[in-house]
Amino acid sequence: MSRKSERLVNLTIALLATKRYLTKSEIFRTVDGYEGTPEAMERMFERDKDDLRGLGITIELGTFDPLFEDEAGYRITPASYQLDLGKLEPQDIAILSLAASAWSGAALEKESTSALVKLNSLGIESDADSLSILAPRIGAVDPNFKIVTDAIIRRAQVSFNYTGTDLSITRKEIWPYSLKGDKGSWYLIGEDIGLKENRTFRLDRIQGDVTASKRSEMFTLPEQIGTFDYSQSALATLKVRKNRGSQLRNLASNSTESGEWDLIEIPIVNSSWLISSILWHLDDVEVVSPFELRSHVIANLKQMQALHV
Amino acid sequence: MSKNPATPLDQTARLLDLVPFLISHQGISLKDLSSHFKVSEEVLLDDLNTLWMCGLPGYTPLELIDLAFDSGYVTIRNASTLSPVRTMSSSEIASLLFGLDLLRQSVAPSDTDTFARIEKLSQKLQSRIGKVAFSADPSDRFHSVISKAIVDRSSLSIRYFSLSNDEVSLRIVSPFHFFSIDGDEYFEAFCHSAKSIRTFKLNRVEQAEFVPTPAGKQESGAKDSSKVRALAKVHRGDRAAAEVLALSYGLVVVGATVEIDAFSTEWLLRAIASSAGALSVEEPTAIRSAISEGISRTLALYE
Repeated sequence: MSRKSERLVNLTIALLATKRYLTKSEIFRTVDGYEGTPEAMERMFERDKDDLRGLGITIELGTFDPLFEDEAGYRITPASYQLDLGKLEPQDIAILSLAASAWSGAALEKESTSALVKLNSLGIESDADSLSILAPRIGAVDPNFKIVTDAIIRRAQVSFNYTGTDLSITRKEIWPYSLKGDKGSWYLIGEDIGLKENRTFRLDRIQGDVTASKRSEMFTLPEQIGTFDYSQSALATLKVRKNRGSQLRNLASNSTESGEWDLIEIPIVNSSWLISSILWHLDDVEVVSPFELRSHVIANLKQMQALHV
Repeated sequence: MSKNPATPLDQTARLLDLVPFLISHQGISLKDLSSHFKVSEEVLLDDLNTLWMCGLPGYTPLELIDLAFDSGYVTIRNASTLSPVRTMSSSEIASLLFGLDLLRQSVAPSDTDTFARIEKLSQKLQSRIGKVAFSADPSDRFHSVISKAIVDRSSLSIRYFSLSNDEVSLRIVSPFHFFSIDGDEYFEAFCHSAKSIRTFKLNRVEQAEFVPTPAGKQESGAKDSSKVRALAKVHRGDRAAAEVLALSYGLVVVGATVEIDAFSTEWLLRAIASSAGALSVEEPTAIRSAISEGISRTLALYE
């Protein structure tokens, strides 16, 4: 049993119940758990206020009579303490409950569990029968998921060690803008402060822990996040055998038939990815242009041939 | 997954949430209570014993929260100050927003009422924490569909992208088992199109719909488990190669020899080719020469 949590609950009750501001000396005198020297109680109270703030509870400091120089006091207003999601219907509770239960076994399980408890405490019946959606499941288990989510909400700078394409590790300082999942991976999009450019980072390429600044509101969210102007990039022309290369065809901006082959045009966004992808397809894909890409692929093939003699 | 429930702050949060929950669930069993809060009954008993000592200043029985739980069923009285449901933290709201986004992707287009509700709820929650750009992983929605098929022993028509065969195929499958390797999720299913048991990677499923199970025996057909093992040498640190071959980054060091498990020779051949010289296969020689032939065939295109 923890004396500390008992004191924090008692402090919350006292500050919520009071109609006027409670002065510090009143708190020390009446709230159970404050003991020791005045300095010790003072320190205890400062920590307790921080801790309650960390739980999302706002403690107001003020005085009722500004004309008299009476000592300022503390209280928690019921309006700031209470969950207010407006009017919710039984179907809404059912939808939110499904949304929360998606995290079972995953990164935000703890948060979604307490969110669900709160929804279930509202005294609104859940009407799950009216919904015809399968229970969703979110597969995110990355240990950094929570801290990144939290930093995005707080607009706090994050830093982490990131694995580059050559497996070297670089320290990154990022303003995190958004987090999105795609095909089993999670991507953080944000401004690389050093490069002054928007970049995308895959969470599982981060080595170790992400650290987030304690400061909040360090940046503003741009209107457009991580949008890339493909129309600006150079085009590669590839010969792709009929019915093959669907991965590359999906990216094609243009395609024309040419006997057993199709000629497709692809914007060169990430050349090392494109080369890997071309090589993956072996003799089902040939680079026509640009010349640099073609010679690069030939050089890679010759190198591999030498490695497999 | 939940962290140590014993830290004083976690306990404080739980105590504050317990009160309104108990008020709306008078007489709930300790067992049900522990499953709602996802903590053990032991932790809950400690919580209830702590809560019992809390109340308004004065702390006489008149001011203290009155709890009864000796019978294994919990009732609460005299706790009106803490009866309001506490506001949600921004991380709690974030967890709901991700869940809602996945629901939005899963709901049938014809179900406009549910869709509108999801939209409205998302906006309501977003207004609490400011504009945030969170989007769920669309491929997660297939997990629910496949899980349901496993539980109901029903069949699915799936559109599946096979990287090794370089083709998108439509297949009718009866899934029976989920598993994960290094964070990647797979399922095993009887494939009615191939008439044998096959392994599918979840994130390559592009579409999945329930269909009636086709007639015919299912258990026949050998399991497609012809795994290929090879030894490869590392010539260059390459993140993409490490990821394709499911090797941890630390293993891909110049000069090192790594062991590779593959589902098929075809796949291994392509994966090694795509590494653009970062890795070469040393053993077995059959695969080594298959790679050599594949490369020569490709080079011939350029001559």
